[in-house]
This record gives sequence, structure tokens and C-alpha cells, in this order.
Amino acid sequence: MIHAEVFPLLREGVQESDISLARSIREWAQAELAAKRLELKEDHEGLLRPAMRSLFIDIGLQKAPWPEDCGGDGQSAAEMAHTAAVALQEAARGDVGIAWLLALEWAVALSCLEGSGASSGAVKRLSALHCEGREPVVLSLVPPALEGRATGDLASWRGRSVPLAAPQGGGWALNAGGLRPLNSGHDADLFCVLCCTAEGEPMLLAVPGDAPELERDRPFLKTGLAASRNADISLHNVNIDEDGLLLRGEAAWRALLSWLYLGSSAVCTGALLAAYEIIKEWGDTRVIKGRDSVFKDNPLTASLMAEIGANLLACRLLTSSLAQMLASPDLYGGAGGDAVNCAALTVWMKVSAAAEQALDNTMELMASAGYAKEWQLERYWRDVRTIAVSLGNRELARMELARHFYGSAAG
Amino acid sequence: MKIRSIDDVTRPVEYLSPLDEYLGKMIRRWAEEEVIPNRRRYDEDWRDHRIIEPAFRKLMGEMGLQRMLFPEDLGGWGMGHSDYIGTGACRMFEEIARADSAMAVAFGVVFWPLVMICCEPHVNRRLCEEFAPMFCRTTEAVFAANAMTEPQGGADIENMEILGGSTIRTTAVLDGDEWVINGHKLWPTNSGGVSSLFSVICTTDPGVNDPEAFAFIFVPAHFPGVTQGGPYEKAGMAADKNGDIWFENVRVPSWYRAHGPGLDYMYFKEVISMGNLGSIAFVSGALMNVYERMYDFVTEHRYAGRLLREHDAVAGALADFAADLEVIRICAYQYARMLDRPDIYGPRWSDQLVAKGRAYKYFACDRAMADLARLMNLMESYGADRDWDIEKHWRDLKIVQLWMGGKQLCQMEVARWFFECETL
Repeated sequence: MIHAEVFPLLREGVQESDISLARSIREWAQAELAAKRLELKEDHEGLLRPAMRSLFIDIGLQKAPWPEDCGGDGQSAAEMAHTAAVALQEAARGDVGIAWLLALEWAVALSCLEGSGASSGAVKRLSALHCEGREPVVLSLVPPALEGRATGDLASWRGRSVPLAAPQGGGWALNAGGLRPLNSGHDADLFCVLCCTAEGEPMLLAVPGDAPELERDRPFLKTGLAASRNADISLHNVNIDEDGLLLRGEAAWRALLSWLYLGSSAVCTGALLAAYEIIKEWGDTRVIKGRDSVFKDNPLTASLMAEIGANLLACRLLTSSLAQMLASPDLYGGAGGDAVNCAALTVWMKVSAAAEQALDNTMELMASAGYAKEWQLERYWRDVRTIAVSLGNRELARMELARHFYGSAAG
Repeated sequence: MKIRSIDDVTRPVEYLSPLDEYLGKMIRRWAEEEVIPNRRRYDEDWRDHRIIEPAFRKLMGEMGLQRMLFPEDLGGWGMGHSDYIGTGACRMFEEIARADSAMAVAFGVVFWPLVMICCEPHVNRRLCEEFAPMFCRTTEAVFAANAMTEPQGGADIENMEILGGSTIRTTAVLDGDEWVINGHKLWPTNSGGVSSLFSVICTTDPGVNDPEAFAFIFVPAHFPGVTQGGPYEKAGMAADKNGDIWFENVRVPSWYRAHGPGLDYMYFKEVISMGNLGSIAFVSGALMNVYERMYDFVTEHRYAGRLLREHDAVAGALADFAADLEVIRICAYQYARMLDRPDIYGPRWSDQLVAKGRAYKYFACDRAMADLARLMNLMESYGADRDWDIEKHWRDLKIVQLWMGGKQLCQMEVARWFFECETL
């Protein structure tokens, strides 16, 4: 790990294989992305999709959490927590969007495998999808949304709008339009839709990307995350059989979110690592105020650079700590428990805020080079912002924390 | 029913220019018809300006706003002779930036070079006569640029108080009755091939910290020896092209220098003041549109059965934004008024007005960026969706925050004036 001495990684639970994997991912980022970035920029077909294929299939990260008897690597949740914290940081250095898609995949897999109500058929189906093919699998998560956009048969769950899961045969039917996925609505092979029964029980149902009753809008333009081409979707009476049930119950959904907060924290930390490398070079070489003054030696800029470094270190420590919690359910409780979920949310809110602050500051220090695309920095700034807004309204998220910390009934 | 509008955001009405209502309505109509319906496609048009250029043509050429600083007898509107150049510009910049702050800066920077020669009390009549036809006898959009920044020093050139032009490497050598200019500039607004006229910041004595050596010289873009590179691709502000300009033995008449030794340096600070006014007004204008779009969003979306705006915690964030918008807009007009009335506040090029402009500019930018980040977050995944426009303003205003030396230079100038620092 190049930055291990400057920004220590908590080593408890981290395997040598994780360190070795991180090294491989660093090489992947250089060969598959950095070397081609100036020419191909954010070209999805020319740059990002091939890089995804290399990371997901050739390095094999797509199958890491799935059971060995289904063709996966069979890494346990405890192992995966540390692997995710280390690997996703390195992957995000290469491309934040690709790393975040992997974080989403792993969050779904780990929550699904944790006895969260998924049928064995669902696990087999998802394992096969991830372990047998030679193409990267793109999962799209469709979370609960603010009310006002979606149409059709909807339910209200925890103040938000979700499709109503109507019993049909041995499974369920979904009929809702104007749904906004978290990611990849344009490309997804499988949509994981959070819906709700008439009795108010949440479920995560899998809708195949090739379902004829699935309609995708045109991809919409957005701030960042070019690897995730997103589009709204509509479900016209899609039938889901029981093997399409991925999660059931609020705790299972919260477990998924906890894993997603870990992955997203690691991704944002990785983006900040990349920004650190850029500002480090800038600080070492940029001459200001004439010939003899190097940028990093000016007290004002050094102060801000110190703040950037401190934020990066805090992000790494927090992400490692969350990985440790998720890896130790015997000590802290499960990923879907209130304590771990609120810790995960807290870490995510702090890491994303620190990463955004540090990226803002890095942009400020580099001025026009900060916002010129050829300097690469602005991409991380846009990508991290896109993840930060996608994962939810912080004012409303604080209601969850107030409930946990103070027993507040504020909704 | 929606009762409030952007016109309810306060500005000091006793300061407004006599042209305020006329210009405001005219530009707002232009923005609604020519820019807002198309602006979501601007990012992909950054290199060619196929969609962007017609809107510029309408505003600057057909509506004639590019003529406004020149004297009336030369075909202009005579604003350079008025006592409302600040408040008039503030309203125009706001209205344009409400639609697109990159268009506002491209428009505003046309006047950066011209301020030096068209505005009282330092009108250079001969240069006005020389360049007025270029801007006043056409219905095409004509751009100008202030070529200041150089590759090696970034904002050092603007750091005039401490460096006094000593880092400028673009040279001007008097050869008979011509200046011979050599150097490399980058990043000026309206470079990248769009400008017809440059003002070039040069030194007549490289390496010295001497106001006498600071030269502000006009160079028409078509003169031999001027080469422009293509535009850079940026995080936002697609309507503003920025590139490299090389000057290689470019010869211009000696009287193309704006005012001469010492005076160029002194009046150039007025260019900085006007740039700060523009920046604050761009922030104010863009935030007015953010207010409009956020109003729609929090009225169209619900949480737990209530309108989003009726949720107390969300309302707290909305209130913080509205408070900042109020203050920033008042601040913009206050500063404009200070520039309009040198009889009360001193000359526009004074260290005091430069420092206070820097203070207002970085305050406005910092508050805007914090507000935009929080508002985007309220919108969840729609916050990053271009269809809601907020993310565009977030990307664009970040660039406003970083230009003209960025925050650190602003901080130094503010500290230098208020605390009488001597060595920063």
C-alpha cells in the first residue's frame, strides 16, 4: 500500500490477500484507466465497460462473496467487510463509478446471504448470474423515493413511496411507473426493487433486466458517475416468483444499507486518495510568488493541504472501523441491527462530508487546474457529490439518528 | 398558488440605475426564450457553441448590449460616462447568470478591457474611436478578453500589491512607434478562439516589482503573431471558452497602450473591482434561479404525506439558503453602488474597494457552494439530475469561486487591507 505509512490502514482483520488484491487493483487502475483517460475521458463503451470487465471478471471481484458451491469465492461476510474497505478504495482511485457499482453488488450479495429472507432459489439464481458469465453483471437498486414522481400501485413506507407488492400466484406483481433507480437504470441486468406488501412489510424483489414488462426511459444527464448510466424505469404488472425475493423485513433492508454505507465510504475515501495524489504533486512542484516559493511551503496553502490530509486520514480510519464492526456481529450485532445501522449511517455521513470538503478544498487550491477536465481532479469531485446526493437527504437521515440516539419520534 | 417570486428577493431600490427595469425585463425575456429552454444541452456544446452562439448573437449583437460602454457619438450607449455602471451591470449580470452564469461571464468580460478606456475619469478617446466600430457597427456578437494569467504563476499577476507585476513574463518592447509583444497567456474568458480583441498584461521590464513596468496593451486578435489554442473542457461553464494565446513578435501601435507607465497599473485595479462585482452578481443571479427551481422541487415532492418544504428540518435548510440569498443580493448591489459613487466611496481602483470586493466575492461564493451542496442533498438523486438545473449551478459557481485568484488571494488582500499586513 503506497500510502500506508502516511495514512495508516487499520490492519485488524485485513488479510495479506486483501493487501495483495489492493496491489492488483492499483495496477488495474493504472493500466485500464489512467493510461487511457486523457484520450477516452468518460467514454462508457471505450473505457469504462472494458475496465469493468477486467475488474469484475478477470480479477474476479464479481464473484467474491458468492458461495463456493455456486462458483463463487465463498468469502465470508467478515472477510468481505475488510476486503470491501481495502479494495473499493483502490478501485475508486481508478474510477469512482465502477467502484460504486461494485459496492452496490456486494451490498446486495452480503445482505442477501446473511439469512435475510432470501430463498435458496434466489441465492442460486444470483450466484449463477454473477459466477457463470464472462460479462460484468450490473445490478440496479431501486430504493424508496420521495413521494411525487412515481405512479401506479404504490405504498408508503417510512414516509417514502415504494411499489406495492401485490400477491400473485406464489409470488408478487409490481405495477409502478416513474421509478428512479439509484444507479444504472439504462444498463442493469437485474433491478433490485424495494417494495412493500399491503401489510407494510418491505421486500427487495429482483426484476430481470430483460423482463418484457420492464420499460426504461432514456438515460438522463447527471453530475457524475459516468459508469452508471441511469434512467427511470416503469414496471407494467411484472410478475416475480418466490425465487425473486432477495430480502424481507426492515432489518434485512437496513443490513443492505449498512453494507452500502461501508462500500460508499470506502469509495469516497478512494476518491480522496486520488485527490491527495494530485494535490501532493501540485504542492511539490507548483511555484508561486516568483521563483523560490513552492506551493506547499506557503503557510496558508499548507494549512488547507493539512486539512485535506486530515480529512483523508479520518475517512480511512472511520471506514476501517465500520468494516471492523460489520465483520464482528458477535460483538456489535448484525448489520441490520439498530446500533450497527446507525453507526454505518453516521460513518457514511461523516466520510462523505469530509470527502466533499476535502475535494472542495483541493479544487480551490488548484484553481483553474482544479476544474479543467485534463487535470482529472474535477471528475472525483463530481462523482463523490453524485454518490452523496444519491444516498439520501441528510436532513431526513438525521431523523433516524435522532431516533436512535435520543428516542426522538421526529419523522 | 405560488405568490413569491425572485423579485421578492431584496435589493436596495434606492440604488437602482435608471435603466434597471428596462434592461432587466429585456434580458429576462431573452433568457426565458433563448437560453433556459436550451441550457441543459450546453455542456455537450462546449467546443463548438452551435447551440450557444445564437443566444449570444441575439443578446450582444441584435439587442446591442455589447455597445453599452462606448460613448453615444461613437454608436454606444454611453454607460461609461454614467454614474450607474455598477448597478446597471449588476442587474444585467444577475439576469444573464440566472439563466447561465457562463454566458454572464462571457458577456461581462467583453467589458473588462473596455472599462480601461471607456469609463470616466480615465477615458481614452482615441482608443474608443479605434475600437467602437468593431462592437457598435455589427449585429454579430463580438467578444473581447483580458489576457492576464500565465502558465507559470497562475494568480500571481493579480497579486499586485505584493508582487507588483514582477512575475509577468509576457514582454512589451517599444520599437519605434510600435510595441512588440511576446508571451503566452492562458485561461482568459473568451479565449479559445472567440475573441476579436485582447487586452494583454505585459511587462516592459521583466522581473522588476515596479508599477511603471506594468503595461496594459490592446491587441486585435487578427494581428500577425497572435495564435489561439482551442478551448479547455471544464467541469461547467460551457458557454465560456478558455484556452491558450501565444503572442510572437506581435506589433501594435504604441498608442494601443491604455494609459502609460504607472497609470495602467493603477487603473487595472478597477478591472479587478469590476471582476469582483461581476462574480458577486453572477452568484446572486444563479442563486435566484436555484430559488425558483428549489421552490418547484420542494412543492412537487412529499415526505410522509407532507410537502417536502413543510418538513421542519428541510425547512431549516431552505431558510438558511434564503437568508444567504438575501444577504448576497444586497451585498452585490451595495458593492455596485460603491463603484458607482467614487465621490462617496473613493475611486474604483482604490485598495479599499478592491479588498472589499474580494471579501464580498469570496463570502458569496463560499455561502453559495455550501447552500448548493445542501440543497442538492435535499433532492436526493434528483440533485445530480441535470433536468433540475441545481447541479449545473453547483458546477458553474464552483468555477466562479476559483477564478480571479481563488479564495486564498482574496483572503490575503482582505487581510492586507483590514489588518494592514505588510509582508503577505
